[in-house]
Amino acid sequence: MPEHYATVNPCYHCMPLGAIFAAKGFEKTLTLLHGSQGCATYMRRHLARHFHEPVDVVSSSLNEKDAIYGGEENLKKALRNTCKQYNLQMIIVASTCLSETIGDDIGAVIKDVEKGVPGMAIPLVSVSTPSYQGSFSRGYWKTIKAALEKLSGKSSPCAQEGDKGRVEKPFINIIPGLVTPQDLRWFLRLGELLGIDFHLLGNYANTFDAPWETSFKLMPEGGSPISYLREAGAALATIEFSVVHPEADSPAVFLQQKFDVPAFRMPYPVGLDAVDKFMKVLTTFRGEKIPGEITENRGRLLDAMADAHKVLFAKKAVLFGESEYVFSVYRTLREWGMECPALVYGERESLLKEEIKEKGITFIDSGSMFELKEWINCNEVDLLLGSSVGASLSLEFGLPLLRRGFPIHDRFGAGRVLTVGYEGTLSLIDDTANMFAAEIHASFRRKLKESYLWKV
Amino acid sequence: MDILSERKAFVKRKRADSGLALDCEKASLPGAVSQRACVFCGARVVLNPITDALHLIHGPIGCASYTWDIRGSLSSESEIYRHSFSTDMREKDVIFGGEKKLEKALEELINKFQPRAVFVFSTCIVGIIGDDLEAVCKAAERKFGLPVIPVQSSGFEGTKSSGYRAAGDAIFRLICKGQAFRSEKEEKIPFSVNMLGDFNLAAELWIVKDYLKRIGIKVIATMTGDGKVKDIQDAPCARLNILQCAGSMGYLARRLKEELDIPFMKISFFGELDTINSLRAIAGFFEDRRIRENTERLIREESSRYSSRIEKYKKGIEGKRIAIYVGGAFKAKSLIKSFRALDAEVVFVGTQTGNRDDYEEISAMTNPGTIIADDTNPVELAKCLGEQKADLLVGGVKERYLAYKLGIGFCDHNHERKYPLAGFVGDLEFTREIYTSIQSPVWKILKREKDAGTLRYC
Repeated sequence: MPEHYATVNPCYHCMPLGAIFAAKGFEKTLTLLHGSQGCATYMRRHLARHFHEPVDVVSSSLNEKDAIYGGEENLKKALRNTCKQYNLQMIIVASTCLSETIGDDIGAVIKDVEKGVPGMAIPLVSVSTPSYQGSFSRGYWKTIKAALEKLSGKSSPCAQEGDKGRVEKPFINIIPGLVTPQDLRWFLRLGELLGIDFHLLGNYANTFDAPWETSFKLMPEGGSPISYLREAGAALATIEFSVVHPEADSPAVFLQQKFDVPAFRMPYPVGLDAVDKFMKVLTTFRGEKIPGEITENRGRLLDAMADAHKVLFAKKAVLFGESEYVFSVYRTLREWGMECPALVYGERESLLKEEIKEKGITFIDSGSMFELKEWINCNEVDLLLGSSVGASLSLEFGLPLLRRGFPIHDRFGAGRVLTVGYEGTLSLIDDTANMFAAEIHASFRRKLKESYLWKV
Repeated sequence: MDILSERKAFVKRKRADSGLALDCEKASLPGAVSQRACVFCGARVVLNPITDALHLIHGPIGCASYTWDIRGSLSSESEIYRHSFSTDMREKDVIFGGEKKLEKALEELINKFQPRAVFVFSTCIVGIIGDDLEAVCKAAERKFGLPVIPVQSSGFEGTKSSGYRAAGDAIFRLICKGQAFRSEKEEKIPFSVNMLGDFNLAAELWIVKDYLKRIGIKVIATMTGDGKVKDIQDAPCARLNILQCAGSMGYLARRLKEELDIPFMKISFFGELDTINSLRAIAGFFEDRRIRENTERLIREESSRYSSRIEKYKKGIEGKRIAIYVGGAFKAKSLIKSFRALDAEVVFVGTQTGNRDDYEEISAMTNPGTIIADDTNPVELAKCLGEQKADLLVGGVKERYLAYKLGIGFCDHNHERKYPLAGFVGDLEFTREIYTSIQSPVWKILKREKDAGTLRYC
């Protein structure tokens, strides 16, 4: 590929968006973007369109004067106003291009506010997320790590205070990454089935996909309790769905180094092999048999792979989106005998190229969907798989688009798509196979007539 | 949930016995979750519909990602504007400056996409590190022989309205560059107008353009919906500028009047009443009997065409309580008139960018008890919609799901709309949209749930 100086039609986003994803996983937690008003507004709009939910994100609304003299006063004011309006338990203060470059010391402001403002009893976690230093997923991992750096300990505060009656139940930290609310509900259900206490760090199942309720709640219910962060150092292990994201940002590795909590970094549990590996790790903590409900669905996945093998084999799918998810889907599609000749992602820090050993794959690591278009112009493709940023290519080339990932702006129910586990893989295989089945049934008569009738 | 004390002067209830004097045109309060965006956003949404221009965002990826094809405005020819072009600045560009990368990006993109003009947007980071956009653009203009115009739109350097001005300045420069290439000043074209402040969402500009054609008026340049660089450069040939969205394009209209001597007239094609008044006002300007007759004929034909269907929908809307929260004040005013024609009661009106005069006018148009708000936020909206017992909110996507959580209907009057809301046919579509949302059985079910309180199955 020739060198490019511009990125055209990016399939990825900037770091603060990842901070919002991370913050949404905790109870009564808001993100405050320290920067100009636009960042918060754009991200709210992007998230609202994907999840079909109201999403509040606070901004310190910096202006010209603040850019010259520093935005610390605005930040303090924003923190105060946020607490007056919302009943909160934590605030994630994420920097933006602007505040990072003018050199505001967010950490110092937070210390000041925590000391000096009465009623500011909640933790304020600062994280550095300027757009030019990384992407959406990096913002997510950095934020989880920053929250743990600030809050994590060996045990919960009540145990420290000598609460002898409390029985400490063993638990596992799970850092889910950028999955769907339905996926998070699946993890919790799995924990119940296996009898293992999963502490999701965090859990945006409800906060991004809230049930309608009779009384309006400005902050949706749900999210993991902040105590999960405080107790994280006492876990049996941390499982983190991150393989291609660099270890330097890894919350699991941080907990291992600080508290000796064993870290398991694995791909999203998507596809037979990855889910099996995930289950295997879980059984090491719970030496019992995997319940029938799970093994039955594993069997159904094997059955579905046999059912659909002919329409899937050798079909060429192009994948685009967050590189961790691209990696998982790539592995899954290869299990079915499909090919993935081009992969598009925008995280320059990603190790995707190193992890995928297969030859002959085109990596479009600028995240440019226009480069993908140029590639499709001279290569054969059967399927586009990724977010709704692929919609225009789908129309232009008449290629089916299977919508997965973020954002999905032109369909409903993005929060309720199950992508993980044997069950999520089942829905992926059915949806993928049906894309091809639909095409075969819609066109086989016409194609055969065109090919052979004229000869008769 | 309480309104912040510093916000109280921005949210007021209209009283019968005193003026409104609403606070407005101020920077958003930190921590208040404003629905406004930034300078860059203002400039981006105004310029984006110019179809054969290349809109290059000089900054990190976010600004380009979130604004890719943001408006859904339609084009009759080029599709270049629907791409999202970014210099995708990285840390080293921030440290060493982004000018070199911008130069190379311009070369790469101009060669590949062959645009008629280029707009280069500055973002927050560029405003801070001080890349010299003027110099880079000037050099590129000489090298490639097409207008390359910097847009001073660093996010923090003002409000969204400052972005509208930056866009206005950029369009003005584009027009002047066109003049410079001409040997002599061109003649004015008789019975001609430019359309300002229509962005061709859901083909709305084409609907109005057809009306103008039918009454004998030629449209030279459309700014910026379905905009074309050559047409915009021909704008000085028009006799009159008709200005719809005054909030975003009023500044440009005033500059064109003061510096190029093109008068402008404020119009609005939202709602039947405003459509009729606007057509008559435009016809009146040209003082021509034929045009006046054509206009009256068009009004007769068009307004009778949809009236029976509108009447049918109206029955399901009468007496409903309506809340309006939109960007520009002109739209709020047209909406108030439209709802009045439907016998619905407007109980809340807010805008992001209205000025003192706008709010006084809005206040004069509404009933006592109506809440009027500037730059409102979800806390205030939730409180006011509840207090006012609204049945439906008109707004943009960020407010849509708030309305649904509150259990009330919603009408999209922002970039997202897929049905035209302008002109006579737009009045039908608008009425149908309001009817569809209000009459859905879902609100009755949700109300029943609310009335019942806790859930009981037996």
